[in-house]
Amino acid sequence: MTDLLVVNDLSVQYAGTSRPSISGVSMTLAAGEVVGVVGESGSGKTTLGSALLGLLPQGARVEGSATFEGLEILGAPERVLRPLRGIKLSTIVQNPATALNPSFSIGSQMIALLRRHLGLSKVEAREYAIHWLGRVGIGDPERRMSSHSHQLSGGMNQRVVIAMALALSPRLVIADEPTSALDVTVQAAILQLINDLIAESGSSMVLITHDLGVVAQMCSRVVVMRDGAVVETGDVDQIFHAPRTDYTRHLLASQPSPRTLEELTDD
Amino acid sequence: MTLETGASAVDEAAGVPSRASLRSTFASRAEVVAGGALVLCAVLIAVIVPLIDPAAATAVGASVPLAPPGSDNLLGSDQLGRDQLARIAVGYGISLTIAVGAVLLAVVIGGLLGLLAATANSVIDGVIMRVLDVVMAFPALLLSIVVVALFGAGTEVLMLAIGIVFIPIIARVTRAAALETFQQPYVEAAIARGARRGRVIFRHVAPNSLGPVVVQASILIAVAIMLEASLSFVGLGVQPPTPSLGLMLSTGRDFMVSDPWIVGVPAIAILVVVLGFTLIGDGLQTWLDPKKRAVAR
Repeated sequence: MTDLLVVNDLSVQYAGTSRPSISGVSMTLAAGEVVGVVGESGSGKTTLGSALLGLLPQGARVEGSATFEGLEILGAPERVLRPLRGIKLSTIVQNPATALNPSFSIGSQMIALLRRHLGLSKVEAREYAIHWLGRVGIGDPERRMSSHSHQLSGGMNQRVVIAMALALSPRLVIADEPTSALDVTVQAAILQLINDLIAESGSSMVLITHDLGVVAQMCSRVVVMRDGAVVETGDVDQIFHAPRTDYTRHLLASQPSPRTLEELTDD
Repeated sequence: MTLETGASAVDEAAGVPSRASLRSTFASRAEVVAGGALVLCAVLIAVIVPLIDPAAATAVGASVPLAPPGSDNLLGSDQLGRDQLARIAVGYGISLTIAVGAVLLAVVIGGLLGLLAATANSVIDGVIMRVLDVVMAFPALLLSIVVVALFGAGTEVLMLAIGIVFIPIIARVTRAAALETFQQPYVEAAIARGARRGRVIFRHVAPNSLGPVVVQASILIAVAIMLEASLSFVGLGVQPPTPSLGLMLSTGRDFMVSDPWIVGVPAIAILVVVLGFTLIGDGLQTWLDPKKRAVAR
């Protein structure tokens, strides 16, 4: 397998801070692979995600390199990034309640996205959007097209966000805590949905989470982060059964025994 | 597990509005309705009264001078025997045109400047805002007097003069709102999904920053009416014989003690529209919030 994403010695320091939020982070991601990035809050997981998406705030200092399909994306100008965004490189954000524009219906936002990237007509885009809302498990998708995000629950919003992120079959999805803001009862279903859709489209995913149970279920490899640096990288089996560092051992011990998705959904 | 997701999604359907939010929605709606009614009164007077007798506003000696309000002159007549109601009607028309025009001008120019400042880099932001700070440093009345002195009195010049005073105010409100909106995850998400810059600004940032701007605009219409009245009062606004609320106050003040309705009528007329637009602005503040709006439906 060739590497889709190669991050080499990445450091990010936000403006007005005295030390870097992440430093010397390196990782690779093969096509079709799902890699988990785990760590406590403040470990720099989200900064890593933002850096890869080119969404760091103004004034942040970035060093190192990150190539996506062989193309340098760190500090790349808009004209390089924009053709990748949405269609090849997509994101599922943490809080679905604020992930959709409150002024427009979810349908009009999906239609705009599909037309922009696929060049569909309004009618085709509408049909495709309805098809995708159905695929992500939204009942009566045709009627829901005219709903606004605040009329939907968190779980439903996240389904819409997932539909928008995956409808274009991106090569790489960066999912930053996609279920942390959701009710526990909905989390498992959403994870399963992401898992199924990712597998189907053959997309790769960087799954940023603090939940080792999620990692165990979804990922093939894990990057453990602490204080902005990578502590350990390895296969899921190795990390869970033979952690090499004390920190990983502590992290594992801090979790209520790693659960599988089956156990979660049987509850 | 297979996709039992469809079933659970139905269960996740939208929440029910709380009693408190309904009450605040109702209160703000009542304010908007009351304010709207006052403004509507003014607009109706401005439109209908001149239709009855178009010349009455400037017809000197048509009635007994300084006649008190009564059957002949509903709101009395002024020192030259002109019907006060007719003069108020024409004055309203001019005042409202100038105020609305000035605020529209400020919203278009100030809004664009504010959006640009909020979404551009810090250098452009700094330049725009410092220039506007300079404009804002002048007292409103002085600044409009300067503009009138430069271009001469007239309806368009008054619009321009008052509009220029308001541009920095609208720009600041827009910038503050847009800065906040720009930080919203859905704006980041839109950028991450490849939306163009213009689209991000006008579809994602602008509509969601509109609330405070509309509220400010409504209140500024009230301020514009007072500013226009002030300028006319000192003789720099609407020129006689065209009636204006400020001018009526100015010429009537000699008779204030003996015939109080001469100044009372235009004063109340100003009060009605200013109160109306202020109430609308206040009520809209809560009502325009998209989340609360949804509850109100």
